[in-house]
Amino acid sequence: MIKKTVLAAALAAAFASPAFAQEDVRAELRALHEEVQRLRAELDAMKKGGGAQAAAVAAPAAVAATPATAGSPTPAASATPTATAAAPAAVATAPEAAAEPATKLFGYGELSYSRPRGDAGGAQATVGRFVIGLSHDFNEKTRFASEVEIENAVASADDQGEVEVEQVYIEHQFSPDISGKAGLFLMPIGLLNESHEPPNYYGVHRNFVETAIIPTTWREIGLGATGRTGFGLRWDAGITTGFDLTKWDSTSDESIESPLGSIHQEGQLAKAGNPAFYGALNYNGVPGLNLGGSLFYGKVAQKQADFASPDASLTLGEVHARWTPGDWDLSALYAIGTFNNVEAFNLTQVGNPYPVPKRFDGWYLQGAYKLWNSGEYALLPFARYEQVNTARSYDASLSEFGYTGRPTDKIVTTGATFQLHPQVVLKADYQWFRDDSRRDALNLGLGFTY
Amino acid sequence: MSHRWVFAALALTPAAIVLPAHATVYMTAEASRAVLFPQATHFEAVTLDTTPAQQAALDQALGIATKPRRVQGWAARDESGKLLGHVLVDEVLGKYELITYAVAFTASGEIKGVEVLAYRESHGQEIRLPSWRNQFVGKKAVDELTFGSGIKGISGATLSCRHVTEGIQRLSALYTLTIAPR
Repeated sequence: MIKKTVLAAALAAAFASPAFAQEDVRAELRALHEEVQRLRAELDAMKKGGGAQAAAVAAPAAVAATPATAGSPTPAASATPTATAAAPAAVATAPEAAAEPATKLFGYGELSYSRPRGDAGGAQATVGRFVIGLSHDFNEKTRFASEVEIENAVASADDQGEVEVEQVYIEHQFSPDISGKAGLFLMPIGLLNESHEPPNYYGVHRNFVETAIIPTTWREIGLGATGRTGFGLRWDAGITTGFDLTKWDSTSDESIESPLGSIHQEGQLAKAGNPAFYGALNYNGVPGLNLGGSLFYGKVAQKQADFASPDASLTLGEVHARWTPGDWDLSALYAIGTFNNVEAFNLTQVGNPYPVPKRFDGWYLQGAYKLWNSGEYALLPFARYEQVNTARSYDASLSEFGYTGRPTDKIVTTGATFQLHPQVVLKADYQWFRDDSRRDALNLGLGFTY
Repeated sequence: MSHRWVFAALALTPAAIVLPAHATVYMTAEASRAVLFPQATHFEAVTLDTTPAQQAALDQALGIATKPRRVQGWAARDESGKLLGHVLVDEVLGKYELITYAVAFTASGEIKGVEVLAYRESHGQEIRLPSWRNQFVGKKAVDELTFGSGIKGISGATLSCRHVTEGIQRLSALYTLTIAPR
């Protein structure tokens, strides 16, 4: 384009001018050439200066460039990054949207201190999670989003921390109401899984039901679709990887702490012989109210040749409600999981303490109240009652070996969140285990999301 | 002549590269003003800038320190030239992405309607639902427009709802300080 216009100018000059004027034309061309070089250098410098800066300068320049082509005598003024040139018409295209960079950084962090009752030696402090998220908008419909998480501060062969990719997926907007995603993404199951940043939940630690029954932070590799209707119903459906029952360790405490947490695959060389399916519905048609439920089903033997229960399957269902009248925030959730066709495998594990349960379930009720606020500060005391049973029952075939369902854990958690800012919270709570007071604990936490 | 073309070409080149942004744009601001004031026959552009004194009054009304921010929009008039109200267009950061919206004020300063023009987050498109937006209608005072007690959020999109509510609360206070006295 530059060459063309310069050429056109030169040609026009050559035809229109007598020979003695050619010297002037050459001089002008030289000046023009130098000007172009200078502007190029400036542009390069601007681009190197960062996308945001380049965008901020470029956007108003584009607006001002229109009058410039129409004959403005001072084109250099078009580079002034002021919004005054943006007539009301520019409002329509949201002038500042262009200044927003396409690549964004976000994330969250949570630190905690926990002290079991009467056991100072068991007190522990940790950087539980530190997450860095990165997203990039390729265009108005396609984007990439990711989160990389470091758990417990240090990860190496000798340490207990973990580094994990918590999410990495491509999302595409098919229409204003329907989007699809492909990659490693969070399951739309429960109240907590998809919005698990510390300011979004009460208590230093995530609740037991959405940790022990619904694993956390639960993600799978696959394809998913999300749609919304005009009356407030959101639906989600997808096909993904599932759990790997061949990892079940009937001697490990982890199997009883979180049955699904012990056999999740997290996108790490996941055995994918069997697909899993999920569906979820959430109603948000009344402001402040959310009613929802979801179902997840998949075979869990993953076609592993020597596994004793090749048809083993898992079904997990959940219903939830959240209501925020006035300064209250009330929620309830019930989740139930069942393993089917696991008898053959369990019979090979007889003698070990933790065979695969037939059924595991839990529920909670939670209430929080905004007791005080001033500006962005707020104090929100809360209380939660939970019942969790990670092995409510076993297959009938195991009963002759003396296996019976485990007792239900009943936990009361009460404490408060102090908001320094809606995205920065200090938390304190105390947890009572109704049937095992040795697990009672005081917890202190710090959380933020950005 | 050729100078201008070169400058125009240079000015447009970077713009063409950086302007596209991920956005689900539901409505242009022009379309929204017609939806918000269907009986209006013409619109006059308005630009709101705060004087330092107005900015201080705004911060006092909101109870937090805010940055001065230019807001643009229109005054809506009917055939006879009677002022029907104003439409102001603004945007806030949702969770990670910008949300663009238009708010209509009646001539007496109450909110007449809210339209979401562009929403770019993965979650929380429910703020487009009439039931959510209608919470603002008829409200004016800062207290009525407080997130939580005055305006309810949407589970899973709390930050987006909070930020849009705070943005509208600010526009309402700005309206009271700048347009209402005119």
